[in-house]
Amino acid sequence: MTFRQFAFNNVKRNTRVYLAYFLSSVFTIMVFFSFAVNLFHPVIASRRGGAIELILGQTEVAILVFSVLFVFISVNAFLKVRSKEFGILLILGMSPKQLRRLVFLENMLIGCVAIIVGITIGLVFSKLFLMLLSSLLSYGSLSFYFPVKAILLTAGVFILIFLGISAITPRIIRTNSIITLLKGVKKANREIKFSIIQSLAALLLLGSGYFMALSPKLYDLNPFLDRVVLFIERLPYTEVILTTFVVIGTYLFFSQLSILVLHRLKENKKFYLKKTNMLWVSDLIYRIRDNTRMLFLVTVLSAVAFTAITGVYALSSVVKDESLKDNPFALTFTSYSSNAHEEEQIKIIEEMLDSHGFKYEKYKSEVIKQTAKDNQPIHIIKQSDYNNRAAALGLEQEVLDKDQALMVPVYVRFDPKRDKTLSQKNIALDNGEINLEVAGVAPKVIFYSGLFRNLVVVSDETYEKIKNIQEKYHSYSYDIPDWLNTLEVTEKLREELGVGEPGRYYWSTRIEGYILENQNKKIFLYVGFFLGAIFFLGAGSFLYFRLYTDLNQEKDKYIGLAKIGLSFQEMKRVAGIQIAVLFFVPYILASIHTYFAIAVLQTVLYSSVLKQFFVVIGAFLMLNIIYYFSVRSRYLNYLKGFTVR
Amino acid sequence: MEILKLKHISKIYGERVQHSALQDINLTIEKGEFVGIMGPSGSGKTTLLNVISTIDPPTSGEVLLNGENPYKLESSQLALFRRRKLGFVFQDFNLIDTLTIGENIVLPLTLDGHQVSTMDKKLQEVAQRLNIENILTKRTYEISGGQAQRTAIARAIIHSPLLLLADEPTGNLDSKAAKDVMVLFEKINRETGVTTVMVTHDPKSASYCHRVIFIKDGRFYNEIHRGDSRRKFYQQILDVLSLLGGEADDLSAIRL
Ligand SMILES: Nc1ncnc2c1ncn2[C@@H]1O[C@H](COP(=O)(O)OP(=O)(O)O)[C@@H](O)[C@H]1O
Ligand SMILES: [Mg+2]
Repeated sequence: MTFRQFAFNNVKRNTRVYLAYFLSSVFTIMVFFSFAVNLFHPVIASRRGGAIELILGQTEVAILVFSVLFVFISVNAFLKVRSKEFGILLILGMSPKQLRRLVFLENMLIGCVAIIVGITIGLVFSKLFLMLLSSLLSYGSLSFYFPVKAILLTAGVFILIFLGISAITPRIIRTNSIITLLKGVKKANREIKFSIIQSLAALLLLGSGYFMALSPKLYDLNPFLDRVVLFIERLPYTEVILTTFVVIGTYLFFSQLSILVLHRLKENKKFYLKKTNMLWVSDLIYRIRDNTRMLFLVTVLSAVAFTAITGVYALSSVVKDESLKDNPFALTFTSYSSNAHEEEQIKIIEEMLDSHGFKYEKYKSEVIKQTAKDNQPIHIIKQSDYNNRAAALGLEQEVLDKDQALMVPVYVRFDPKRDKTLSQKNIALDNGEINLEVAGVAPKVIFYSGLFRNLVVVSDETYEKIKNIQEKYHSYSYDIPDWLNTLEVTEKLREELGVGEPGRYYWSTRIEGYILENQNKKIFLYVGFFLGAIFFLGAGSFLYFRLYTDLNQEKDKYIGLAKIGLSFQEMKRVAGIQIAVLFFVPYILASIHTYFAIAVLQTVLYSSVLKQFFVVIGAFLMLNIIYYFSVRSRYLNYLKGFTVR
Repeated sequence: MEILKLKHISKIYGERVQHSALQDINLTIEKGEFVGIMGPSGSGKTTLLNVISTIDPPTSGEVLLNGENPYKLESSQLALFRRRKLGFVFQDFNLIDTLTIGENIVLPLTLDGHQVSTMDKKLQEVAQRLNIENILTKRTYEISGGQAQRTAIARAIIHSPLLLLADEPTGNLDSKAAKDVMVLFEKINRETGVTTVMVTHDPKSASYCHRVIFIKDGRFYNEIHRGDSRRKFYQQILDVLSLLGGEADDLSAIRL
């Protein structure tokens, strides 16, 4: 047996230990690869620089970061299980260098096989992913292609990852303390300490993080609170601070607070000495301490997954609303005074609509542009034109005095507190010759988002008096009830009118915005679910991996307990409670984190996402329960083998 | 010739709460000797053996193996030293589960990069000596405790070490298997002349040694030499042990 044969045999025959590591590597590679197949698809690649490519590209990077982390943690757990084996080898005179070579060879062997298997499985699934993606994008069908680039990228990236990890991890093994290695992973007889101050810090950090997330909602409740809220708002990078607080708080939660709670349980003799409580409480203290980093990571990953999925889910369910708000009319054509073909163009549009059998209402408005003293453009529309549109949009009719003005928002997400143009008290027109008092703010966009910044409504009488006319636009808006079917017409019109001509005319339709938004949001949804699922599966695998790793140590303890008369039923209870804590505490904490992260999202989205939150959390609860029961039953089956002896 | 010399060895464990596991141990072992180390549980036997094994540096004092202090070597040098000069046998065998019995035995030669043909030759020799030729292709879970320990011994001597170290080699075996193993140790010591140091708390096993050293609470307590009769030696060992005052349990301790 040569050294290389030895390394090879070691991997080949030790499937039980290597399998978990191998499978998680295969899984990671498969996911990365499938995503790369999407990314390099000729159709998507041809739209280089587009939003889709960008989103998919960034997702691939996120998956990459996750992969490195995941493989690294897997390999660490894997090396830990084998510390005894390493101890034996070292005592037989293996040099630290040889040990590093062994681990390196093993890792490369597992890595190469995992890359081949991962890509092969990925090839099978990529067809499925491509189908999914193409139906989402309404690209017709993204045909299957042989993804040479994706294969090269995946193989290249993962060879690098495995090389890096194979080079780094062997250094983690503490080759100088053979005795510790020989004794196995850890001793259960050491005392577990915790700090009350750090436990309080955990509560404080989590609490203030949550408070910061909610703070925009807490405004206007009481004066003291308001000052706090304003203080938080003035902090730079609130989100970063908030996230840091919650992340550190989570870590302390597992490293200190949970231990403190278990200690309190231990001191409660009535509880502690009852039935099997003693067994699981004392054991859990060690479990949590040994797995602090893992529990922490699982919680953070789950929170990210839950938030991503809730976020994209919420975004996609508001997409129709949003494009309605962005484009209150199905089509709007705006012409400059220098456009000689205005009437012809309007005729083209209307004939096209007529010939396709669309019913429509036309709203024509005139808008004057001036430049105010501060060089800001001001757009002016007269009251009768405004009311005309207001009627179509179901807004109240306005009656303005000759020295009054009404501001109209230019974006859907307007915020009177923050958009300065909307909070002006007075408006000066014609270089101060006409002075108007702002009577209020219209509730909605009346053309489409982004058109006519700083738009002011004035009475018809005042409008006629305006002398300084830098530009006079004619804007035609069409309300088409059957707008969802106007894509074909729009495409035909684009052939005739193009997108517009600078300084002459331009036009915009709701359907195009809707489709674009819809597509982007579907991709978001796809990516979000993809990432969420991966992160969650990854988190679950970490837990599973750990339990698997711990089994070997547990074995001796349970054999001993079985000998002194612990029944299988009791063993089931003890193991069940422990696994439940490891599975559900991170889930619950992650859900709470998500709730507060969503609170931040909500202020951006301007609509309630609570429903989506509960749907997502509920779905994951189901998944988690399934995961829990399958892991528990495998674990118990394994233990059962020892009790009957 | 002195194979092993311990000079004023002390070992203190712990940082805040210090515990002295060995105190001022002096010991000289000549080439070819078969020495037993005995003492009550917790008296420091394993610690002493680990100090000799080059895997647990003493807090103070000097270890000389074949005239050189292994703790002064740098790590790759030390690995070479262990690989070529030392052989280990443990209570729980410490075989590698992924390897066959034969592969386990040749592992020290593999680590040292020997020719495959040399490995095969030596494997046959040593397997014959230990009477395990017919299990060489089996895996560790397919053999009995006695066979496992014989495998471990084969692994410990295949490279003809200078010093064979064993920590309770019979601790996990029934009395029949324990006897077989001790007979083998004696035979190997006699035939190959390998210096052997064995920790045990079984007086029967200890009676196969030439000399038994007793320690108590980390200190040297007594030392007795074997005369012509093993039976008489066994009785002497029992006498010292009863004076030593280890709990009765210790003498026949069976681990779970
Ligand atoms: N790694 C260690 N850390 C702290 N104390 C130890 C360690 N190893 C052994 N001891 C202590 O040293 C003493 C001697 O242990 P050991 O040599 O294993 O005894 P024996 O093998 O004779 O039963 C014991 O009291 C034990 O608790
Ligand atoms: Mg011992």
